[in-house]
Amino acid sequence: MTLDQLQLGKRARVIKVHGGRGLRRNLTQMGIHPGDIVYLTQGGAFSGPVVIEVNGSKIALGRGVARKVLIDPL
Amino acid sequence: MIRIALVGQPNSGKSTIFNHLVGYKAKTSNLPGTTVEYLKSETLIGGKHAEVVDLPGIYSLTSLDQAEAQARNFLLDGQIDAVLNVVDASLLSRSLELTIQLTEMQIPIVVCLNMQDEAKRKGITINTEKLAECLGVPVFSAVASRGVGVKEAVEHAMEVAHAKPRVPFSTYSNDVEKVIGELVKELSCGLAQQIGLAPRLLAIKLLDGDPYFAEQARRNSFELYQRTEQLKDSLGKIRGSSAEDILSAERHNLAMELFEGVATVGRPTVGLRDKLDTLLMHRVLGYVFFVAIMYIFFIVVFRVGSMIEAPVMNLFDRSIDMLAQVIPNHGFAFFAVKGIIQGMAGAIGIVFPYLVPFLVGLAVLEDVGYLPRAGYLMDIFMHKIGLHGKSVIPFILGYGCSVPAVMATRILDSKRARFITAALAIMVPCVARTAIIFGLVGYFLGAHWAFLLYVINILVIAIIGKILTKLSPQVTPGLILEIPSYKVPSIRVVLAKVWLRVREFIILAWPLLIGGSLVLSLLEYARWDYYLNLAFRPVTWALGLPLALGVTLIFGVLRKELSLIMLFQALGTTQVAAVLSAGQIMTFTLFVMFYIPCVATIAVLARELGRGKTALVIGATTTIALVVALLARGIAAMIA
Repeated sequence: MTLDQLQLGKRARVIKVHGGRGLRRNLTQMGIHPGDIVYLTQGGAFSGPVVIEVNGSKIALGRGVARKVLIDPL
Repeated sequence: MIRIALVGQPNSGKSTIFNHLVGYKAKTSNLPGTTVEYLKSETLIGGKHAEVVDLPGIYSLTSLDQAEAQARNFLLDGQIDAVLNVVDASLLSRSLELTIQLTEMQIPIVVCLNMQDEAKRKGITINTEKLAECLGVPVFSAVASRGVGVKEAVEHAMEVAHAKPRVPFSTYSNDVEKVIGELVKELSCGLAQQIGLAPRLLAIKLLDGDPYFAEQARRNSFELYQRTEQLKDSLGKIRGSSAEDILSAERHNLAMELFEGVATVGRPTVGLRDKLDTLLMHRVLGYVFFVAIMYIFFIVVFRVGSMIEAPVMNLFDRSIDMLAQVIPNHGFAFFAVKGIIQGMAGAIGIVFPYLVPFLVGLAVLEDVGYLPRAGYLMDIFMHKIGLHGKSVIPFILGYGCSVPAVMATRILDSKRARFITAALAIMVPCVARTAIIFGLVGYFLGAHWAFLLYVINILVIAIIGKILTKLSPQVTPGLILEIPSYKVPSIRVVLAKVWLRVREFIILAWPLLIGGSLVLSLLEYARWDYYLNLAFRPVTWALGLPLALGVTLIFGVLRKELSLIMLFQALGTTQVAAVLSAGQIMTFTLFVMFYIPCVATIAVLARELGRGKTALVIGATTTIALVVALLARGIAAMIA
């Protein structure tokens, strides 16, 4: 399952980030690593971006980005 | 002189500390070729002279994005004596990854643990002494917004800048350290010496796949390059991942270990601020609030502005009447003095009243933390025009001034996105054009007409964006944007931001506005304005505007407000509504909103995009201005 499919208010563990080095690096910098627990706080309208809480910070991710984050729902 | 750099992740409070240190009246200078401008200022710290440099916020030193690479280069060869690493205590675990990278640079460092109050709210308690012990560098707590603890941290940075203690680095796992060791051996007497970098730091940078240093290595010797690749491969094979990922995971683990060792996480206090986002970022209500916030913002700016505009303009009008009684109203002296008075009237009476409340409002929205939320809400629309939410930041800055908006496109990763964003962002009405919209349309036709212009502006930008994406289709990179916690804006910070812009306006714009007005008045006296107007007649004729407005459009390129100030002069009255119809006012304003960007914007566009593309942008915006204004004329004619 990927992050864009996670339901509002649910938690999940990040397994892996698909995609290029740039994307992986950008996500890591923002504090999203494999093994981290994310919490979906907002799902955008019209299948827009999502907002997750991870390691104490809130981060907005575009749908396309969220689709590349493989997760394991908790 | 001692040079101290403030380094930290975005929103960690560097600028607050910077302003606290240099006392707002900072003699700031912009180093060329930078994103958000490096602010430098000299100040006294503990009785000694020092130069403090405020670097733009960076998440790491390994990034591929231009702004972060620049900050890294600045740290490496900027002759920095000490780094004051500003850390958002509420985001300690993530921030420590940058701290670890900074210690690898072997520059004396002091950690300033900022926003302890916010950390407490999130239920995080940090043992500062233990953190200092684990990192092996001094750590100070601070609440920069209230000025608490800043002095101690900076004074200590001065001390380490003098004493230059060895900075201990963190050790990675054995297998990683072994590879680093191998590479260090290769580098010690070669490349590392040549570029004057600690071998260990260079080794880590090469393993990190830093494109800049990889290129250096390749140019130095192909064997070294090959050897690096070989070592990266061998490391990758052991762990079944890429060297970059391994290092990043290692740093993350180190940071997490540190964090767990020094911090305890308790129950966060859930307050109003946390609940606010369920409304303001709601999938439907969020947009309602967005429009409402923007609407209120503009209405307040307009109300405050027009309250001041009317009496001030009256005053200047009367002084010109009085002038005509004192000196003959055909002479050179009359025209010269009239030009100056009208220039001052425009600058003080029209531009200023709207500029100040606008800047205050923008600074408050910025400080509260609403702008990234607007970016989140707008992401979906940005995708529709081939951009993503990060492009929202240049757009929002564009409402202030097009120059920083164009510079901010550096945060975007592709050339295409930068071009499209810059080209679109300069069409966003800046403060100068806002003054025209409010001072002319708002004042004479009513606030709702002014608001309508903003809506039209957004629609036009969206249409142009759509066309540009059709011409150059590409999958847009996704949005990754941090949403910081809401903060109560500090009056001091807001006023400092406003003052910085207002000062710039007084120093740079006033002379231009008053000088331009004087020149026009003298042109009138010599009756040369007729020829200038004639040159612009094709445009004014097509738009159904009086001949006299040609000259205002020419001067508007110097500084957009000039168009408005000269309008009064060209028409010979401040009672515009008496000479121009509502349709004409709308047509004129729409044309001014879009046509040729001002000289400052042209200069920055040429620097950022190159001359060819800048010429293209100028041509395109002028065409757009003509089309939109012609449409407005047509619609106005139909209604009438």
